[in-house]
Amino acid sequence: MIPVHFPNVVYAELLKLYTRSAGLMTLAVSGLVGMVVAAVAAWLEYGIRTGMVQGPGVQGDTTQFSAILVGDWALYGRNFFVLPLMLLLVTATVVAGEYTDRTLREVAVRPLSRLSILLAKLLALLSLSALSLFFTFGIAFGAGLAAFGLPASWELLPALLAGYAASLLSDLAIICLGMLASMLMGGVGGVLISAAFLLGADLALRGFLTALNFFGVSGASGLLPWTLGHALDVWLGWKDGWEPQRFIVVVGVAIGAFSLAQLRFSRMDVP
Amino acid sequence: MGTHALEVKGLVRRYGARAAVGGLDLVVEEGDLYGFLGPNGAGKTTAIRCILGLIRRDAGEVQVFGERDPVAQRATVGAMVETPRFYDWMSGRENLRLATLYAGRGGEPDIDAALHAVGLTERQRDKVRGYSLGMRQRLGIARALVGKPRLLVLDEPTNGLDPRGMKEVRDLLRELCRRERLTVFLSSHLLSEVQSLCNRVGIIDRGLLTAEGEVNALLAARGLKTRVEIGVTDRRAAVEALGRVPGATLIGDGEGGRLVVELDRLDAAGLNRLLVQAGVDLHTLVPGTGSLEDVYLQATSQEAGVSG
Repeated sequence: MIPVHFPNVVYAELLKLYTRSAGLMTLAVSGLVGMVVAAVAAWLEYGIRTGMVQGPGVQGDTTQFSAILVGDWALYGRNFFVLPLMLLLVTATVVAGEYTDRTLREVAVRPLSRLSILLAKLLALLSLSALSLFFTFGIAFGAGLAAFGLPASWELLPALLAGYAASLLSDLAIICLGMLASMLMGGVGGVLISAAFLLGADLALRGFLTALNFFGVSGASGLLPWTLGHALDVWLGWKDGWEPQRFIVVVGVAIGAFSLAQLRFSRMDVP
Repeated sequence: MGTHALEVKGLVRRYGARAAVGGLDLVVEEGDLYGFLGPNGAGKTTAIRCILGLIRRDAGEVQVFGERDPVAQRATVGAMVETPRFYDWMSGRENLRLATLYAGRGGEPDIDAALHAVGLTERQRDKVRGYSLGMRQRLGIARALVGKPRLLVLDEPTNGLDPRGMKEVRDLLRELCRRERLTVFLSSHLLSEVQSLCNRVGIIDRGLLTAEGEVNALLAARGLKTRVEIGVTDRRAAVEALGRVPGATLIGDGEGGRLVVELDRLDAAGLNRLLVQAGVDLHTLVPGTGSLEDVYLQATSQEAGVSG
C-alpha cells in the first residue's frame, strides 16, 4: 500500500505546501502572533512600571513578565481561533482544492495508492503545524528574552514546551477533520462551512450539558471533558493539569476522521 | 488474457441507470499507435478514466502488460486526461519535477528530454500561469513522458494546438513509437489525425466498441477503400500514370488542385513509389479522411448495440 518511493511523495507535497501562498501565510501569521504578543507584553510591562496602565485589574499587579510568560501568552494567541482556522484552510486547499481544480488527477494517475496520497498530505500538513508552533514559540520567546532578559526561573519551561507539543495533537485532529470534510464536501468553502457547523454543534452540546449540570442532572458534568471543543484545548493541560479524556478524544477524533477520509477517498472518483 | 500492452474486457461504468461504458472490450498491442475514436458522449473519456483507475468500474477487467494491480499498472503508464491541470504558481520544470517524484522514477535528464521533445526548453523556468493553452497541452504531454512509461494514454492530445503544434505532436508520437518502442493509446475526434497517425483504430459508440482493427483492414471489411489526395507538378502526366498504376483509381479533384485517388491493395507509400517510377513528381500527399469517415459513420450510427 505504501510504495518504496513514499519519501519522494512526501517531499513533493512539502514542495507544493511551502510554495503555496496559504502555507507561507500560515507561517507568517505564526511568527506574527509571537511578535505581537511579545510587543503587547513589553507595552504592558512598561505601562504598569510607569503607571501609564492603571485600573482595578492592574493595581498591585504582581505579574512577573518574562520570556516564559510571553511564550505562554503566544500559545494562547496562536491557538485562539486564527491558526486553527488557517490550518483548516490550508488542509482544505491541499485536499479539497486539488480535487476541485483537478490537479489531484495528476497525482492519482501515478503508481500510488489512495492511502499513500492522503498520508503524504497529512505528513506535510503536520510539518506545517510543527513549523508554525516552532515559529510562534521561537519568535515569542526570543522577543521575550530581548524585552525582559533571562527568566528568574526556568522551572516552567518544560511544561510550557509540553503545552506546545500537545498543540501538535490538537492540530492533528483539526487537519484530519479538515481532510474528512474535504472528502465529504469536495470544496474549500464546504469545508469551512462544515467546520463552523461542527464547532457550533459542539458549542451547543457543551451548553446543553452545562445547563443539565445546572439543573442538577447527574452525570452531565462528567460528559463535558469528552466533548470535541474541550478536547481540542488539550494543550491547556500544561497549566490546568493534563486530562486523559482530552488525549483520548483528540487522538480518537484524529484516527477516526483520517480513517473515514481514507475510506471515502479510496472509493471516490477523481475528476 | 495474454500480455498485450493494454487489454480491456467487459468494462462497465454506470451513472445511475445509464451505462456510460457498457461492456467495452479492446486490445492494444505493444508498439501500437492506437486511435480511440467516438462521438461526444460516446464514453471515450469515461473509459480512459476507468482504465487509469481514476474512477471505479462497475464490472470488467483491465490489464496493462499483463499486470492486474491498478497501482502497479500505473508504474508503466504515462497519461494525460482531458485538459491537463498544473500547479500554476510553479514553473513548467517544477511541475515536471513533481511528476518524477510522484512517479518514483526519472530525474533531471528525463525532464530535460521531455521538455526538449515538446519544445518547451526555452520557457521551462516560466510560471505555468503564464502559459498559453497550447503550451499547457505540450507540457501535459511532457509530464506524461517523464517517468519512462511504456504505455502512453492521451486524451485528445492535440486539443488547443495550432496546426504547427498539432503536426509537431503527431511527429513526436510517431518518433516515440519508433525510437522508444512506446505504445500510444490516444482518443481523438479528428479523423484525419487518427488516420494519418494510428496503425490501429477502435471506434466507440454509446459505451461499446463497434469497430476495431487496422485502418486498412477496417476499410476492406466494409468494402471501402483508402483515399489519398496528391499534389503533382505535372497534372496531365499524373492522370496518365494513374491509369497505368494497378490498385489506384482517380476519383476526382480535391482541395488546392490536388487529385483524389482511391487505393485498393496499395498504401500511400506504394502509390508514391509507383508514380515516381512512372516519372511523376509528387509535392504533396495527404491521407484522405473520407474512407475512415465512412467507417466511423457506419460504426457510430448503424452498429450501436447498447442503449445510452
